[in-house]
Amino acid sequence: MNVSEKRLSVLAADSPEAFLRLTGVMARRGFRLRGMSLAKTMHPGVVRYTLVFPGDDGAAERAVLNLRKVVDVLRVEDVSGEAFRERWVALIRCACRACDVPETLPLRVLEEDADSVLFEASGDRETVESCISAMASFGIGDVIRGGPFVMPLAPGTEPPV
Amino acid sequence: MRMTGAEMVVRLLEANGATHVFGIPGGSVIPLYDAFSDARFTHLLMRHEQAAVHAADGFARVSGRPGVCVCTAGPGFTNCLTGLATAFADSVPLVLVCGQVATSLIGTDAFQEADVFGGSLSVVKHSFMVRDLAGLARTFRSAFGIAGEGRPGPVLIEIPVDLQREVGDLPSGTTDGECPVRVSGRGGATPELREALRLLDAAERPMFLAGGGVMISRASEALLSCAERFQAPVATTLLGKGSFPGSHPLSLGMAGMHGTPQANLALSEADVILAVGTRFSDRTTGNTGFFGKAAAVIHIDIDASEIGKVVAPSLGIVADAGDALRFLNECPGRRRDPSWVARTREWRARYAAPGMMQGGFHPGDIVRRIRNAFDDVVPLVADVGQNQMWAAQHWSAEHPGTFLTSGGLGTMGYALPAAVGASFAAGLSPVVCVAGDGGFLMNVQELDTCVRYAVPIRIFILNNGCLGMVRQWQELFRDGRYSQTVTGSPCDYVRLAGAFGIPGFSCSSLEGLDSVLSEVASVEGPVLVECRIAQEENVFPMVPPGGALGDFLFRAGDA
Repeated sequence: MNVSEKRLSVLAADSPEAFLRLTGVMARRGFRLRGMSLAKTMHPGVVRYTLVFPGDDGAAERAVLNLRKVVDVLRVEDVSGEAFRERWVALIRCACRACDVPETLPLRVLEEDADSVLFEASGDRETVESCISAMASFGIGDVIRGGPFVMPLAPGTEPPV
Repeated sequence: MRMTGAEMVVRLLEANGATHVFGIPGGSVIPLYDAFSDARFTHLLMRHEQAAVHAADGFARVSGRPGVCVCTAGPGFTNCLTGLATAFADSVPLVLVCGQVATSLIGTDAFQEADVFGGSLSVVKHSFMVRDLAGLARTFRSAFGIAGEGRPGPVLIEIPVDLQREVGDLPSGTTDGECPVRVSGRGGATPELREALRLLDAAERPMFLAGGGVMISRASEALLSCAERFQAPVATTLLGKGSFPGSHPLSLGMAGMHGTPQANLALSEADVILAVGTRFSDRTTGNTGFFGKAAAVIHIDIDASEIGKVVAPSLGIVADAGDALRFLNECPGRRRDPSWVARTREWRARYAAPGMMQGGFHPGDIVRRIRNAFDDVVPLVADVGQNQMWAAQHWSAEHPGTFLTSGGLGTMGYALPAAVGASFAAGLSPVVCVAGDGGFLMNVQELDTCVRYAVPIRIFILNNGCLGMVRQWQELFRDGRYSQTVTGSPCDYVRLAGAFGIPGFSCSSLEGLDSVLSEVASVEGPVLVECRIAQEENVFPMVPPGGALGDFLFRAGDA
């Protein structure tokens, strides 16, 4: 994992206003979001944002303290580092046939037609990125990345709700 | 109880302790204004929405309770933005009730529609978009609570006009609750506070730097006894003025870019600086690379995100200023060598002569004459620029809430409307407003408000015919190229006042000012005094931008 990137897990009210306040605070304080996921939790009305941005421990601390001031924010945790497992996902459409692609690549075929194949890659970020690089030689028609999704290795370290 | 949304708003404002509401009606708040006719609070009609917010701000700073203001949608709202940003920067509790076009029209670019939520996002502590009447009581309770608790700030409630007309039920009991009361943080002995005590007890040259947070948490008495106990001189920030009596032997006055030599030298030489309720503005610290270099800095603030934001303290404590100071005050301490305090007093004596030009009608002298003409409980509201710094340097504030100014945002035009609010907060009692000609003209329309409500406001315009602070920087740092700052405006302020029905005076000497002041004393309502001062008058001492606090220019020609 890139040590100069931080991940925060933010539990917040499920509202469009909360989304704007949260991203507004990050932008206003100079944090540049490199990745973000938004998902509902097991509690109605509470959603989880996972934010990725470049920065060191001090930057993460400042982001945490500023996010905690947002009234809609219920909890903020730094989920960067070894104690957490994270997954990314990418959907890749290539102008090739599924059988052309080496089986060693951790790809799932979601759909195949006469002209192209839609693959899914998932795993840690390096795995997903290396899949995308490897597929470049087959002519990528389109690619979309998502993530991260972060869970603690040991239960009770933080998320889930 | 069945009533319209507008009537609910009135009941809820009353229930949350609103006594004065500043505003201007408009298309999307007509139902609300209709309901104001039988409200228990007083509505004050201002002449500009920005001024309404500033008035509520001045009201809040004097009363310590959230100020309340009302505006209409669209331009009414956008006019409020400067007021909201001013209050946000200075942590002032406000509730703005803002009209909005009818729910069915939102998003259609309807007449006077503006994106209230989006537009205000970065200048409010929180905002509520009312979309039905069901949760209205809770919305108002939350709004007043959020505005006042922790680090205070402005809160906005946006209500579409159709909901103001709609009839619904206001559940009984929702209006009889207690007004939100400021809850201080956990008091008592935290390990951090014990460490602060240890550092202070071990210090040879301790001092306090008191910010606006001391007044917000009503901790002035605790600060006073703390300072005396530790024999620690006290410097204040601009917003901290009034948190410690200016005439007290331990008072160093204001620190920072235009701070007193004794305050800035003490900050440079102290071995322990306890900074409380301050966010270390760049105007207070000077070059942060040199700030408190000789000292262990203890930073106490209620807002955790302020600790370490600008100055990395030796010890950061997230706490209510009052709780922290009361704890420090209750512990036994040791007697201290008086030589440190004596040293700060030597500086004070050495730099006693104000750094003004020789001869003439000096702004510093003017401010001191005005100060002496009024009781020390009369609040001063200073505008922004040179006049603000002259006021800060020469107006000795003795009590909390008696020195008001736009510190963080530096909003020219703040003083006149804020003074209106300040006067109402103190039962329509006298208030002094000091402004330059530039800032005064930015909200001059509020003279009409002063007249209609017979506000006993004493307006002193320090007229130098220029935008003085920028002119000063152009003189010092741009080789005297006065780009767009010297107006040479021929405005006749006495006749201007007269046009509004306000007695006006003009003077250009201290003798003239003295005789005007004796006349002012007998005026009941508003009065305006123009003091014609030299264009060349600059604010000194001055720490040049980027400089260390100890490296100040004391008078013109120092370099």
